This record gives sequence, C-alpha cells and structure tokens, in this order.
Amino acid sequence: MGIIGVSVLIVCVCGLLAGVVLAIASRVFAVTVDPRIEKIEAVLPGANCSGCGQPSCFVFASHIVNMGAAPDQCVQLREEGVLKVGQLLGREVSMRERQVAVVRCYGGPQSKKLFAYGGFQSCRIAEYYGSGGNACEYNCMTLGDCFNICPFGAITHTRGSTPSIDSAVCTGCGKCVKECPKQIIRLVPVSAHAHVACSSRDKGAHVRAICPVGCITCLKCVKICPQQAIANTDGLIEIDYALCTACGDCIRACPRGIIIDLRAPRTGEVLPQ
Amino acid sequence: MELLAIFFSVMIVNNFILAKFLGLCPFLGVSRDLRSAACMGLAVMFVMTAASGVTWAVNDHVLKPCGVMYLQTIVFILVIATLVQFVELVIKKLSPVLQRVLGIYLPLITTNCAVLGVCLLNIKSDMSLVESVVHGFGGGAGFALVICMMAGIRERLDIARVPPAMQGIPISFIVGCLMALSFMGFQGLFAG
Repeated sequence: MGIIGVSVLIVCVCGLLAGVVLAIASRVFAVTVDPRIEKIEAVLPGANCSGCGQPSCFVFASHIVNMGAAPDQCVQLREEGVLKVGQLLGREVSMRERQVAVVRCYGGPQSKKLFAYGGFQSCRIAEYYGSGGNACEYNCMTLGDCFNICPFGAITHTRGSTPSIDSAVCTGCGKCVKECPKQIIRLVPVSAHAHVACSSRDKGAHVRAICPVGCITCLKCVKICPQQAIANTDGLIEIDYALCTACGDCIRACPRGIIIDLRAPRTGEVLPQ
Repeated sequence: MELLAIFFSVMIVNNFILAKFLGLCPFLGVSRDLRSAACMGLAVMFVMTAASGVTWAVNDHVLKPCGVMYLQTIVFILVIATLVQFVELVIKKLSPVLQRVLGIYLPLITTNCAVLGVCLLNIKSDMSLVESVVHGFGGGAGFALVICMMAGIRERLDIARVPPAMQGIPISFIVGCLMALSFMGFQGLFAG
C-alpha cells in the first residue's frame, strides 16, 4: 500500500469516526421543539421589528405557544393572519384595532430659533446641544431620526420640515416613538379623528412668544367637548379616543388651529396660518 | 511561570490578529458593534482552547504513530469542524442561554484560520498538552481583546467625519494597522 493509500485510508477513517460521533450526539442531545412554533413563525411577518416587545418573531412565536401571548400583539399581523394563528393554536383569538404613529408637533421650522445648529445631523445628538437651537423644548428638531429608524418606510422627511407618517403604511411598531428624543411621537388608533399637534407643556404666554402653532392651553377644547373626552394633564392636552365620537367640535373651536383631523387628507407639511 | 509567559506572549506580543494576521475575516466582519464582537470573542476563545487540546491528542495518538504528520492540515480541519458541531449540540441541550450568546458565531468560526493556526503552531513548537491548551486559550483571549477594542473604535468612527473615499472598510483597515503598530510596543516584553 503506497503513501497515497495510507493517507486516503486515514482521512476516510477519521471522517467516518467524526460522522458516527455526530450522529450519536444528535440523537443523545436532541432538543424537541413544538412543531406549532415553526408554523406560527411562518405566518408572522418575519421583520423582527420587536413591536410586540420580543426580540424576534421566533421568540414571539414560542411565547404565543408556551406562555399564551395574544397573537394580535404583533403590530403587523392583519386580521386574516391572526385568525390563521388561532387555527394553528386551536384557541380563540381576538383582533385589536391597528395603531399608527403621529407626530405631535407642527411647529418645526416655524418656531423661534435661538442659534443655528451646525453639528451632527441627528436628533439624539442635537438634543444635547441646546435642543438643536430651538427655543421650544418640545419642538420637532426635523433632523429625521424617526425617518432613519422606521423599518417600513412609512415616514417621509425632508430636512427642515416635520416628518409626515403615512397611516396606510405605518404598522404602529413604536420604534419612532422610542427613538424620538423629544418624545413627541405617539401611537393613536387608526380610526382616531381629532389630534392635538403640539406637545408643549409650557405656559401660554411663553408659547405665544416662540411659536405660531403652539398650544397655549386655553382649554377651549376641554370645555366644548360634549363627551368630556379631552383633558388637560399637566399642561398637555390629551384626547381619550375611547370616548371621542368624532363630532369635530374641538377642531373648530381651537383658536390656534392645531387640533387637526387625522382622517382628512394631509401632507404633514406646515399648517396654514 | 512558563505557562504564564506562554499565555501573555500569545495574547499580547504575538497576537493572532495584529502580529500573525490570522482571523482577519471575523475581525472586520463582526466588529460592527461591541455586543456581537464580545460574543464572537467568547466563541473563539472557547473553540481555540478546545481545539488545541483535541488536535494535540489526535496528533500525538493518531498521526504520529501512523507516521502521517503531513496530513495535519486536512485532519485538523475535519476534527475542528466535528468538535464545533458537537459542542453546539451539547450547548443547545444543556444551556439555552449560552446558545443564544454564542449561537450563530460558533459555526461561523469552524474554519477560521486563527483556530487552525493555533493548532498547527502548537505542533510546530513541540508543546505539551497543558502548554497547548494554555496557548490556545491565550490566543483566543488575545483575539477577544483585539476584536472588542476594534468594535469600540468602530462605534466611535460611525459618528466621526470620515472622507467619503475612506468610509467603511478602508478606514477600518487603517485603524487595524495603527493598532498593530501600537501592539509592536510590547515586543520583547517576555523575551528575557
């Protein structure tokens, strides 16, 4: 047997041994996975957007099967998907209303500037440098961190204007809500009607001095609402969408014109004066 | 004392990445953020230590008696690949947490040249079993150290103003180059 024969033999024997060891190991250390998890994961969108609170679709699928998590926590799954997951699980599932993100500021470029910010073009960094030069503490800095983080391309943004969020594309995953350093993006039900486009908690006189479209907390909307759905919490106007009947009284009553109709077609650009 | 000298010399002076240019692929590929770099470093440390021990045994008890030392490279690749698969199966069963940390990085480093390199160097410099394992552990620790440092620098580089032509891989190579230069300062530390 020549040198080639010996080499081939030894490598073959080593390979065979390795194969046998792995075959035995895969039997001994086999982990059983519930087959439903894989099927449910196939129904889930697979974007790993973490809108459900889990790091990935696979983890969420195993939570649905093992911990009884509700499949409608997935922000992207539409009704037929939820029903399909319910079929796979063999239990009743419900569908909650879809949520979409809206920006609570239209002041952006219109409000007063204290200085021209020329630093790194990111909201999170500009926040450390005097709010990017904005006089208003609650002002959208218009540098587009939300645009950059959106995994679904629902946000359109040009530098210098507040971003607009396409409610048809938005899945309500909440990534922009967490990303915004000013915390002026919030989630509302997709059927929401009136929306207060200002997040300021400042006093009226101060707001009036620095922003043409800021909320001066005059409370006209709170008083006019027939359902008592609007409340003033620490200077911030909040609408309870569970009570709102979409009568539109507050939209007409607002002297600053900053309660807007979310159902009306809008561009998200600067409000008319 | 001898073992300590081996450990530190392979970790710092003869670092696998910066002095021997082995394992450059994960060094540039997985050093985007600190977390994954740390996981990768841990996985390499783990595999290098285990592979050193196993390949030493294979070499001493199989290749040497048969007189086929020239088969080292191919047999070691086989052995390392099997070992990694085996370890992955065991981890999957015994520790889901560790599996999530090392997870995808383990199979990635099966054929990493740094792992094969450490095994061949063990044989070349006639080390004993204990010395081989310490050499492998030190090599892995050095790899982890450098890849974590690189990840830290690259995270900072992301917000630095880099000329367009240098963005991404080119600037990373220059950073790696400067790190190698600075590590040359350790030369001769364990010579005496």
